Amino acid sequence: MPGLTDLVLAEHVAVNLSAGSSESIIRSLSALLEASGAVRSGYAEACVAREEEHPTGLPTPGMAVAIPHADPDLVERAAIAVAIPDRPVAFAQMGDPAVELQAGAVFLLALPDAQGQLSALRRVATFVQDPDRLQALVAAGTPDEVVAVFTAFDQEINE
Amino acid sequence: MTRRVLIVCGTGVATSTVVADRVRRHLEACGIDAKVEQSTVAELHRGAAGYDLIVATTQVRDDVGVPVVAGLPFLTGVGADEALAEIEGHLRDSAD
Repeated sequence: MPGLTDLVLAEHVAVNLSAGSSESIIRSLSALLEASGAVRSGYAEACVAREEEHPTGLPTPGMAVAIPHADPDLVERAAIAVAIPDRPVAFAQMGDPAVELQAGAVFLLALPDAQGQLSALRRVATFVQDPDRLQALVAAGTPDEVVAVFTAFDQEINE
Repeated sequence: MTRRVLIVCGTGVATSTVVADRVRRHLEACGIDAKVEQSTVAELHRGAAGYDLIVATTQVRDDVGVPVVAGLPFLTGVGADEALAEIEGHLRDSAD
């Protein structure tokens, strides 16, 4: 069964990212996806615009996160880029933009077809709802350690 | 009669897919005959005629004409059971 390990590649992970704003973090993660060919040029702008209109901050237990994404038009293949900023970054709350959250981790989703990635999307939701997983994630010091957190998660889900 | 539920998010892709999946599985499990569809908030300007309920992860204008339940709990896990109960309540009411 495809898991998050298949979507979160080390080359798409940024740890200790010095990111002043939600926009700069979206641009950094989009650049990683563009460099590997997972998305085409313009995905960053599409995600930034989408974030302004429909914010993606989630008040998940223990630590807020954000899941910026955009329409599939510019997506070449499914991928999730992950940022652990050096300090939490302000994202507006999904469905209630007046609420500002401090996101400790950011997952930039690139999905060519959501139905095809339903099991991965379910896993993203399961992952971010678990405060212990999020703590393990932000404690990771390298991209490989971040990937290892998702690998361990997939293995437990599959058991 | 089959109930119709519209799941609404900003792009109609990622978040509404997660929410639709959760709502669909719950309604099946509790034996409510419902069709769960996905859309974007932009498409809602045509109105929600024919739907019994909207579940939205984004802001929906007040005059949409059908009950709106917040979909955020299905992404955060916080209050998800209460949100499912609310959805179930609306659909059982509208079946009368």
